[in-house]
Amino acid sequence: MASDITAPRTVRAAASQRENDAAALIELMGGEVALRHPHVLDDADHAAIRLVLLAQLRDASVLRRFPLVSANEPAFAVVLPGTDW
Amino acid sequence: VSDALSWLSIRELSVLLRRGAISPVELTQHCLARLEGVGRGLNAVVTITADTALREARLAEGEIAAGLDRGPLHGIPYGLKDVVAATGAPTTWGAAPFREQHFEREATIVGRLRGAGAILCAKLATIEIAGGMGYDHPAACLTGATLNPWDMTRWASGSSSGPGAAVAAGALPFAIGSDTSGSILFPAAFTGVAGLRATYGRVSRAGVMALAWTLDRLGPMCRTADDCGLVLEAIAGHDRADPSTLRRSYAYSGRTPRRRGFRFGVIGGADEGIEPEIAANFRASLDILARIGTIETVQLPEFPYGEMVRTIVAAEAYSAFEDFIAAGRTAELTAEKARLFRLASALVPAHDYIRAQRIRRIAAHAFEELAGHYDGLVAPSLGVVAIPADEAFEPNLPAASPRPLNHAGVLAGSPTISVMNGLGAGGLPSGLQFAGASLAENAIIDAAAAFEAEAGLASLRPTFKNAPPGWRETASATEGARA
Repeated sequence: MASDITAPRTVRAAASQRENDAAALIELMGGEVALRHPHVLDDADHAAIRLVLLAQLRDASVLRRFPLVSANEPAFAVVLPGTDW
Repeated sequence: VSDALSWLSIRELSVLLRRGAISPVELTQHCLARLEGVGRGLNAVVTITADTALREARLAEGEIAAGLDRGPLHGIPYGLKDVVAATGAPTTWGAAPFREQHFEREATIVGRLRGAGAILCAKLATIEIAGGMGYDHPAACLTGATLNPWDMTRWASGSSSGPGAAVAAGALPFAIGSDTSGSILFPAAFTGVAGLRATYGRVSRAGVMALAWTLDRLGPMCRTADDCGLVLEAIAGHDRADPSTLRRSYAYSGRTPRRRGFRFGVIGGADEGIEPEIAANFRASLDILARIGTIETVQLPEFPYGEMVRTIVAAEAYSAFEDFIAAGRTAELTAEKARLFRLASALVPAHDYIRAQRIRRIAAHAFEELAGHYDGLVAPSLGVVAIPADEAFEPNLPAASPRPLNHAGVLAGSPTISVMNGLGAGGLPSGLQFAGASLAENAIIDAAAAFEAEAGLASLRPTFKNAPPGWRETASATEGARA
């Protein structure tokens, strides 16, 4: 909390913007999930899906920060069916 | 037929069968009675295939009497996790929507086991869809929560719940489980049996429910590590029906087992953040390992293991069950969590899935580099003993369980075996996992078998604590159905 008070206004604004963007993204994604799955029923369903989406985005965020050196490595060499060791 | 049969290993039973001290039919009848009794009492059983079993047992009896020897599984009863297709019985995937599902072709592994002379006695409980739609309660299973034979108020874990419980309860000498991210290891730990997740591609998955194609594996759950080797030898090998199978044969080294001179890598910090009794058992296990080999502390390379596993499973499981999910049929599952949990997986972007697989390759390479120096990387199989069977996971199944080694092995496609290493809180089993480099099953099986021999825990038996009134370990088919 203290750092919020002392942080420069631009930093606080950027953080706030990021939070708003993330919330908007989750809302958007939740809408797409509901469109794909008409059996999503009520607000409680939407809230539950938003929680899963948030966890998914957290995982993706960690993966996206992992440094991959080259785009040319054979991505699936280990795991594609039919691959021998 | 003596009750002692319930607790013998495949290797011991095999000797008795060849000596004629017991016949395959007697042994099968013994197992069928226990499946009707303890098996149904623990909710470990979906279908008992008594007619097929007795027919196969009579065939095995004739063959053995005639001098035909199909190997160590000849005349040995077994069970299948109900994600594996067998003809003549439904294959329910543990889920109500698939209760009446029948396949015309059996899974390759069933044919392999029949060829080895093993006798299919039961389809065994699994968490619905092997847990792939999400679950947060032990009761997420067509047959109800699978109870733990060490304490019937506790859970047997999942998703290979039935195989773990049935073997631990002495209802079957072995069972086949499946594992996507711990589903053999965890029930092995909770129930105190030996469970082997073989190298990716060792065992054909043709005819087995697909959850996550690049992670799913099959493996044996047995009374001993040695038995896991015997079963693996029978089920391993290339299969044209499963293009992911390796073009390599597997021969178990157990005929001349190593008992000394192992080299172990102990995962640093593996005894932190876990139940104190399990930490104590782990430290005692290290003392035992020091008697049969050298131990060095090692660190797992840092990778986002959990994030990779979750992303890959989300994308692949959604794809595997897209029609089912899109039709809203997850609402037919028992787990409340399952109704909505997998819906969001539709939105895992392709680039995140591919990124997870790219990182996975680097992580797998690093894991192989490390594991290749040892006969086993060791850590507790789980950081908790069996949790209550009638309560939700939170807060009983904390994320603090030592999963990085499990997840590293899951992603590397390398083999891991879990064996019991003692009793923890409440007299419930704890497990020790040995993770090896790919194709190094013999190293980890030998190491685990040597550990078992040195630890001397083989005489420990589940006590069926907190059994309900009128509990009986054996029953006839009529009694079992009534129960």
